[in-house]
Amino acid sequence: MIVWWLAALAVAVWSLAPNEAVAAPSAPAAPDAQPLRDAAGSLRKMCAKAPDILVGNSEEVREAVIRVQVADAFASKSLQTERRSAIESMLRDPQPGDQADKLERDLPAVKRLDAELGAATVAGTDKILDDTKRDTLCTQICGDAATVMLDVCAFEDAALAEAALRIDPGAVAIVLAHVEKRLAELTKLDTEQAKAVEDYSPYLNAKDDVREAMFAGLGAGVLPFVGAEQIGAFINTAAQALAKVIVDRAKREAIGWLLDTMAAEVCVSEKDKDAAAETEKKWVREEIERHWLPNLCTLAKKDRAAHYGAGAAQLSALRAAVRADVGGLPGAAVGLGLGHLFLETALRPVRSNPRLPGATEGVVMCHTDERKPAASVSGFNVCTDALQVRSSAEAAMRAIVEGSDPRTALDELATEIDRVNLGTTAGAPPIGFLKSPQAQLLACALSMGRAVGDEPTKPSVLVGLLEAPACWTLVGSGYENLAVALATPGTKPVLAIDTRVSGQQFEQLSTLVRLHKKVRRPTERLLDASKKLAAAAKRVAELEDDAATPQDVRLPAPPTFDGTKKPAEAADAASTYLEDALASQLQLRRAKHLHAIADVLEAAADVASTTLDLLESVQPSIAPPPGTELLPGLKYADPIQGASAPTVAMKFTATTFPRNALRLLRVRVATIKRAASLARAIGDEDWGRAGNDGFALLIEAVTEVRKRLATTTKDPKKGEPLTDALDPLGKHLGTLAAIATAKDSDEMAEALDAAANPPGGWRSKLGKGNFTASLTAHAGLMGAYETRHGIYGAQFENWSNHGQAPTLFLPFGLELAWGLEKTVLALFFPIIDPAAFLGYDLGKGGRLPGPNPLTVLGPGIAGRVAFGKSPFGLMPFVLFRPRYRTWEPTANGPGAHVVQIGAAITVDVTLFRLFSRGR
Amino acid sequence: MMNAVRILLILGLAPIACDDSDECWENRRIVSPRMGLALPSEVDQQIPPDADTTRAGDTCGDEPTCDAMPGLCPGDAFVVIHQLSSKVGETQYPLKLGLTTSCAEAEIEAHHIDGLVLRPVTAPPCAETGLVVTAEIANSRLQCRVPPIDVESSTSDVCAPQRVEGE
Repeated sequence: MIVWWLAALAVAVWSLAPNEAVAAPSAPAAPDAQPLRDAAGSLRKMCAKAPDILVGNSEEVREAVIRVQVADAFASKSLQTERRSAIESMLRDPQPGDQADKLERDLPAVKRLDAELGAATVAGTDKILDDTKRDTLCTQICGDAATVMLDVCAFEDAALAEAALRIDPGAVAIVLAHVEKRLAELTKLDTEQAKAVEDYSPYLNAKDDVREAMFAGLGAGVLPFVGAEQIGAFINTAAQALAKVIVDRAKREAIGWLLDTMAAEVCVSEKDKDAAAETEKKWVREEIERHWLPNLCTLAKKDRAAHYGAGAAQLSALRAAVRADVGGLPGAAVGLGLGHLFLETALRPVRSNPRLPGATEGVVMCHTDERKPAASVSGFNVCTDALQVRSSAEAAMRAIVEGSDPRTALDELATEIDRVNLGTTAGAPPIGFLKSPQAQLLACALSMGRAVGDEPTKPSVLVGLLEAPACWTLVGSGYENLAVALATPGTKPVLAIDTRVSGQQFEQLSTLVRLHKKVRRPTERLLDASKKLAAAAKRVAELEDDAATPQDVRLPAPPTFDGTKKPAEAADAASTYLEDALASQLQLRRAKHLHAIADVLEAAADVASTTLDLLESVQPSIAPPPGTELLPGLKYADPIQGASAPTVAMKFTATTFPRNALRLLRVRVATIKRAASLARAIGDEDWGRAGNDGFALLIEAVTEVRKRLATTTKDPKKGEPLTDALDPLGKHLGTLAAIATAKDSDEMAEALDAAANPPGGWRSKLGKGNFTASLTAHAGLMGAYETRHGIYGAQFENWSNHGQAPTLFLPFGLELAWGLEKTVLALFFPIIDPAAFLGYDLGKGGRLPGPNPLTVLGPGIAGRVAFGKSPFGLMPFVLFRPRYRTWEPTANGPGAHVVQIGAAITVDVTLFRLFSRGR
Repeated sequence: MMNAVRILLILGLAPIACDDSDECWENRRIVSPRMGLALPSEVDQQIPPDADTTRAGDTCGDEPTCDAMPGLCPGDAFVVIHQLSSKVGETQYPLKLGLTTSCAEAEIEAHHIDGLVLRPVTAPPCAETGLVVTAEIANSRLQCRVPPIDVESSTSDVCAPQRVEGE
């Protein structure tokens, strides 16, 4: 509500403030400085207190004033004929003489004035000028005393006058206008009188010169109003600035509110955390907070996100957080898939085996189960391991989309899976046992991208199976590494791949070739993929070399300077240009780099996929003789044989190779490959595409996990909360993309504002089960029965009944809307009706209500039924309009209160959604 | 809440609470201004009770009326009475009085004091043939008609011609 009032106030202020500031009068390029100098000189003379100038000409002044007075008398209709003739004669003969003396006797006004002037000749200029005011003015505008506010007299100096007119002619004009106004207050003479004696008075000279300077400097007819226009422009500017502040503030309030809403909808609330029960909602929200949007949700805790609704720096920080989260979506997807794969297969190699007691159903629940000892199985906490795998996958994918070498990142992921996957127990080989053979196969496949080297050959590709640690676990037959195996006497039957491969001669790979004839084609495919990977990696290296050496850089045309800009402006423009040019170049390089990285990632995924093909093809369908298995490590996936309770029969041998699991492994590899498109989008800074790609990956991963949860638990609804959790994220995805895409805080604020108040808000009210609380305006046509109470004109209306003929209706207020199957029912609480001024009174000749401050108020209650699935609807209402019927415009005059009961046909204009439930 | 209930009660009861036939016009739903004409000596009889402090307690007494006014000759004095509802009290609008006869029209402006206008007026020329007095203020327009003098039943000097000054 506060937000709305702020916005309404802002709109009101904005609408009151003129949209265009009154422009200050444009000054001529080089106004003539001479009039200004003359005016300054006259002012200095006037302020020099030189009454002798006037006294010395007092007789002439007297005569001139009398002549004016006489001329006035001559204009009088009641002047007798002989006197009129005498005046005419005198005016023709300017020399005062007997006739003038006679006139003086007959014209009391002339005599009175003459007496005053006679006194003036004695007492200086006191009778013509107000000396006190003159002194006050002079101390303010002339000289260099401390009281001088502005030394106008200093403009006597030619250089100073010239400079003042060049730098700020408008200010000079305002000063002159001010001085002229003050000068006018000094005299007791009227215009004609002053004109008659101006040649004899330094004051009048000054006044005249100031006017001349004003007109000469800025043009006649405009100057007297310059001050007012300047002030008007200032007021308008101030009003607009105030309106802008309020509008900005209202927007930022809205942004803060939106961020809070997003945070509340997608992140873990404090209430959830305090909940004693481990609810589905909680683990789903923890999933989002820890893996999907960790940065945004960190900001959102304890309303921290709201603080990001203010200030450019904070908005930038918010943008960085959102970008990091969008970039992390592939990691979230791959991590979820691999983590769940590990959890699902660890210590349960045979699908038909019953679930282990206490085992967690899905990796998404591990955040809550990891704290429970019961989650461990036979001393191994598979949840902790699965989360470790997940975390490593997220780190690897994040590194890739940020520009790291995918070969290295995937190899590190594979090594981490290898480390986590090896458990130790009594009777296990020195390297331990495999918790999840499937995860180990995938780790081997992922590590092959790095193992095949920069110049792959068929031998080097196969030797990669020995050199990659994750593969060695499978092929190393229980030895810690190749060196240990070679150093161990009597190892001949132990290694699957003949130790002679150390020479990397393909023909020496006797064991592989001899025993596994099917490997030729998969090996060739692996070789092809490896070559493509090497080529892609080479391109990345070349780009990095290019970046390290100076290049001819194509910069956009620099800004031109025509000499009109000030030095500081030119410096700012140059700085902006350089920053933009550099940012453009950096962005270009980053885009190229990430596109090349994406190529490498795709090639590495192909290598992983073909490696899986190879591993599958070398596995015989029947148990091979001891010592001849290519993947002897698989037989160490049997850790609990002979262990104490819970004893679970786990059999995983070479004859039970998890061919079914290979499909899942290939899906995981495909997910990794698809992250390449996201890397490209981030390189292009196309955050909308990046967000969509990332979200699509996440949807696939979540859907897959949901299906598997439903299968393993035999509860089809088990994974639904997880897919439901995608809804709020998808709902806000566009906003997140807009935040990430925004170039500056203003753009971000606009995007958030648009997201907070999207058009078509009425649609969100549709749909069965939806509930929406919103600030809404309804535009339409209404008719009503009206009863009045109070003074209306000269009548007192005592709940008299009238009709309100159809008129415009624009109520604004709070609406609570419930979506039904085919319509929307709503309760509407209007607060104001801006169209209330149009409620004409048909019984009084169509008289409109006299506007008063309360006219727009129209609190009440209304119902609304939408016409189907449209924004149109029928609205019966009851409104109370305080002091609505006033006869004429009034601020606080009497008026009759009105209660209207009627109906309207309206269009729903939802302005601000406060709360919504459902879709 | 109480106010809301009160409003609803008033809304429900207003139509049946009083009507135009109520004797006490102050309590009618539409409480309009009232207008009357009186000879100077009879003004007191037409002043509504609320405006006459000497008759306190009589809340439903006389109201201004046009009925008692006999025919007037030009130059006769009479008083226009215009009374606002006590609930209206004072208005910011002036009262415009129009005097219309067959040969003359005049307009006079007056202001209410405590809701009451007592405006002495001189009958304009041709008043003997009938006079219409119109009182207009804001959204109220009232008229009183003064009947013509019945010439047949009157003596010939009822309305002696006015002496023109200087003749």
